[in-house]
Amino acid sequence: MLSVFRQTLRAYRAGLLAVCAGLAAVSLVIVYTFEAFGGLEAFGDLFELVPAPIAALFRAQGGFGSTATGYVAADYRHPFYIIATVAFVITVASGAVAREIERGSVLMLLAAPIPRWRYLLPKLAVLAAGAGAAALATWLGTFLGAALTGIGGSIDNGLLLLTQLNMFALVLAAGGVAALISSASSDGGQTVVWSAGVATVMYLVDFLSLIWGPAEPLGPLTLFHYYDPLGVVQRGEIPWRDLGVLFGVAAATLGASLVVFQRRDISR
Amino acid sequence: MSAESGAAIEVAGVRKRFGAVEALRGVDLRVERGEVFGFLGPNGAGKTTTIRILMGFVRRDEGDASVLGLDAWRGSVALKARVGFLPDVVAFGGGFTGQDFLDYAASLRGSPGASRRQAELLDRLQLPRAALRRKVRGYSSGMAKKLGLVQAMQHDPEALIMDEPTEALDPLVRQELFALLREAQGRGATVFMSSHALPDVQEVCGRVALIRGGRIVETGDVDALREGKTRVMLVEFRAPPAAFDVPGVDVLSREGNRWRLAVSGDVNGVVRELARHDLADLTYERLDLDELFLRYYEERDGEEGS
Repeated sequence: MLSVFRQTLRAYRAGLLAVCAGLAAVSLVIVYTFEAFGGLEAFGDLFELVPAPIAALFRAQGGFGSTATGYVAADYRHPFYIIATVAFVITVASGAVAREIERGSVLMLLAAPIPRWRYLLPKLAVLAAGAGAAALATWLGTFLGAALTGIGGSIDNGLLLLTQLNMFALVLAAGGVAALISSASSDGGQTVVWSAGVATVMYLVDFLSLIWGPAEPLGPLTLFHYYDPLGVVQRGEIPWRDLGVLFGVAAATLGASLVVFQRRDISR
Repeated sequence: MSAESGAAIEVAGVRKRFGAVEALRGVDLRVERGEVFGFLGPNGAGKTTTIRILMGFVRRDEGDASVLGLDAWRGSVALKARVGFLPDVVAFGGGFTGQDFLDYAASLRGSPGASRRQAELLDRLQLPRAALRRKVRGYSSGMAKKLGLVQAMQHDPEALIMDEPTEALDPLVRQELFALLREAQGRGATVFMSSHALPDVQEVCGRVALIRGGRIVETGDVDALREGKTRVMLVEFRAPPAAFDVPGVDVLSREGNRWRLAVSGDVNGVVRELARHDLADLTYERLDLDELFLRYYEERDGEEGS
């Protein structure tokens, strides 16, 4: 299993490094933008002018809490973070099964005397490791930015690390859904389209649930409902419910993908 | 069942459906240990589905399939430890070099590192070491096939299951592969191979099975299959006979003195009859497997059409 993990990590290391570098850079820049706005007071005045739907994108309809930590946490809901991390796990998930079957490369590897789940599990471990690395890179970028700009004292790194645990759980759950789709599919392209489609629909439904009353009951049906970094910072506690739901979905979908792959026909 | 009977591969009444398509409609096969067995059929006949069922990649809907005494689905992990496999499409992912791939495949079998056997196979299949340092995505189909063959044979398996092993190989390498397969047979290994290259099957296989429309339509020794089928004789008489009535011989056409005869079974009767006439020329077609194959399907088409 270690050789599959190493080989899969090697295949995705350049992409993962690029994603992590991008996330860290954006996180660093966001701290700089806080300075550029002129600090808390100036940004608070500016935030009053932000239209409600835009604030909803960041789950900051009630304001960002007038703290530098709240400002950074609200920005963690920026679509860039979500797109970059979810795109990475979808890529890994589609490559784990569907793309391998599509090009036929899985046949020679599965000719080895190992159960299929032992072949897939290390690939899912790379997906999880990638999600973790992306969350850590985001936090490190913020940490570095705070240190470089001198606002480190205003930032609660512990709370921001907690928000990244929330992010890790979200990305792992999205990766789990993609892995489940991949394990049932024989077409890498279709897997990407379906996985990205599911994620996009969930993101839109979550967004609508925040800005349109009739759609509000649909919010809890989406993964993004359980990703609220600003809420984590404002409440200052571990978001047990959100983590429970997201890790639960991740465990269920990743587990189901192992079962589906174990039992399916390997044919195009 | 096969552990007791000594069969290396045993398939009985296997059916498989993919959605609306019934790929296999009750396949029966038996390959003895130490045999080199050819599996022939046109595209879409069910060869690859049968092979994937034997390797535990596809689950049969009905029937039994075993390899080396192990159930092909439930015992697939154990049987893969004893079997070498070459798929119809040799493809690689993950940005491997050739050597990376061989090492990876060996590590999945729990035997990492290049072995002496691997080196021997690389030499005999003419895959240069320099090529192994290149990314496999740049390989020609022939080189990819050679790499797949090394992967399948480097652990000296008890059975080799190969889907189109000779495709894309040049004639010299093909001959070397046949030598390797005969050596494997000499060690007691069983070889089960599908192919479109009928002369290849004819050269290396002792027995063959023909599959069509998801059913085995003929199984037997290559020689016996040849003998049991119609062959064509072209005869040029100096003076054609008024009557020509020989059991097992049909006159297909007459163009002046040139006659085409269809000869079934024993050839002695027609030879004796022809000896009574003055001949200018005689051609008796050597029936090889691809003619047999084509004729068999022509006959079947005729029967189905009528």
